Amino acid sequence: MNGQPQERQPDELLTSVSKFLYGTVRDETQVKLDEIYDRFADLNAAQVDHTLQRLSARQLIQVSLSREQVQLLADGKEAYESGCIPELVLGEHYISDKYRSAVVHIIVQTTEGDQMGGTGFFVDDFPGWLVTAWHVTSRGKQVLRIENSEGTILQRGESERHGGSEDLDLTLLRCPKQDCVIPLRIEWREDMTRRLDKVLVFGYPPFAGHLVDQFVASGAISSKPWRLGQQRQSLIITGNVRGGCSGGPVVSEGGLVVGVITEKNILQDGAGTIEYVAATPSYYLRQILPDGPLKPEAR
Amino acid sequence: MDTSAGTHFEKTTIVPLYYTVWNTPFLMPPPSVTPPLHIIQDVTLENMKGIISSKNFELWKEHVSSRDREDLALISICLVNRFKSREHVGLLEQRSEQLLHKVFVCLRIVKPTRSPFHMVQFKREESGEVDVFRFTHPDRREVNVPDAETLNAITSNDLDVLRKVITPFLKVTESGPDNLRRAIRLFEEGYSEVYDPVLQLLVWVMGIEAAFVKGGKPLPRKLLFQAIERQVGFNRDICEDSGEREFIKVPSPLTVGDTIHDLFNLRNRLVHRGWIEKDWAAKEGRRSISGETVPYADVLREAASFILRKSILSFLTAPPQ
Repeated sequence: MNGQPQERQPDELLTSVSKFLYGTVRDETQVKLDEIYDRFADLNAAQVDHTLQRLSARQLIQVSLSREQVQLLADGKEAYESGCIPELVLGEHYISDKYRSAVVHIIVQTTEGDQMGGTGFFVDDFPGWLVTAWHVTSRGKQVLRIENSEGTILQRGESERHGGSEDLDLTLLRCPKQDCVIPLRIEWREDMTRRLDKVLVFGYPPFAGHLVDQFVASGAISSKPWRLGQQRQSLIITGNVRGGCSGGPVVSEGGLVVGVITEKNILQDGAGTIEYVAATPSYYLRQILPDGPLKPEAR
Repeated sequence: MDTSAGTHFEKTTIVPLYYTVWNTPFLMPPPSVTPPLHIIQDVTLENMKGIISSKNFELWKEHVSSRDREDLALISICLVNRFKSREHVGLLEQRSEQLLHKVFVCLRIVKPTRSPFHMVQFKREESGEVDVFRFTHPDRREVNVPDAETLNAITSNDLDVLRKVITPFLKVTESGPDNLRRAIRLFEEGYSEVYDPVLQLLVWVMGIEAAFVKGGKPLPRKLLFQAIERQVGFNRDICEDSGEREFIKVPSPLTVGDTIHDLFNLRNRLVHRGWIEKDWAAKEGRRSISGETVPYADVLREAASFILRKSILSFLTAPPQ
């Protein structure tokens, strides 16, 4: 060390500080500010202050200036254990940038010879596989190529598929992942989404007269209805979303994939028109796991 | 497919069992075998007393009352699953919880007790300290069980039965048949989700019908009773597993055959907005351990649970040809 305080990226700092606060067993639920400064003595104190302020603003800790201590909170522990703190604190732009390369464009050819596009994404639970909607590559479609967000071809021609059916619009598609790609993480727990939760939707929808580019939009979960004729729930997402993102991830504010887009639709009545997308909750991916499916009980 | 790359944390999921012969010696003398006891691969029954204290739940003080935090730490005999995982929660934590939930449900089929399901997940630091990172909090301390099951406690014999049926049980929960999965779900929901005894009876009778579905259709009543007679036996005493069997005073043992017609008649009356037959008010079901009369309709609730779980067990051990 040369005595100069180090500068670290905000997400690194958030990760380090939250690990110090929530990743170790403590007798008390308060931590003295001095203890935190001592632990991060190699850093610029203003950066540590700013990190604590950010955590506090998101209500992941409470800072008591009069007592010169930090109060740890259940929400902070929950966020830390879920590995979500940088995403929760730094927000949509951070999530969009961090996971941009994990979301890919799947180009397929239908039996009639038409070319269509869909979306897939890398997740860290299945290295070397993409998650997408089953209908993107099913019903006789042939995969022509898989491109990343920069247009680089990751896979040319058909690739191995695993799982999915008319009843379960999820599938895994084999595809090599570049080392630089940070894969998304799945929210495996049920009941972790609530109505009005904000989400980001990623995809590659076509815009007439334009080249394909990655599309990211924010929306909210408006409803969680059961599907007619199927024993599954859906997520209905409204807001600044649009169709053409089939197979794309629905990402929570914590950066976890809570759904996979299956279809777009339009709700029309006298009051106007709402475009919405339906997504399959990500925990249904348990049903296509190759090594011992863990199916929720039949309903 | 490797789903466990980069594992480096020793984690544990525990599900407390509050009614076993090892932690309720006032119900039955503890047997010579003592935990830890093997159930299936990666699942054991262990005494975890003292591992967790109410301090481990201090962070949740805004959500869980002080009394409840103390109760959460009052664990001793637990189902235990140990696993290795990465730093943050994900699939493996969820799998561990689901595995123990299934073992817990299977144990309830073997012998129902008043234990609600709840679980605690923790990791151990290198120093040996325990860091609770996730838990579920039961909304009530005890489930509503029929009278004959109120003193039930898990014994080592029950664990022997559990070991025999757990593998087929896990297969059924993963790959069906769907009707048996539905029967299992209805059985467990009758205990864990439903508090009203009338609704419990209805849910369990639905479970019985689901268990015997053939070709996607429910069996007509006559064929259903014949199937139950074959699969379960009409001479079975519906209180044969009761923790208070020797104290129960019954004019004569109530069997499956004695109760099944009345059970389905009562079910029909209830779902068609009728109520319990007036004659039954005077009919003594039996005496409980406390000497009180158990109404006949409540005895039928015991019969519903008994027939359903014995049907499920029989399908697990000897599927019909």
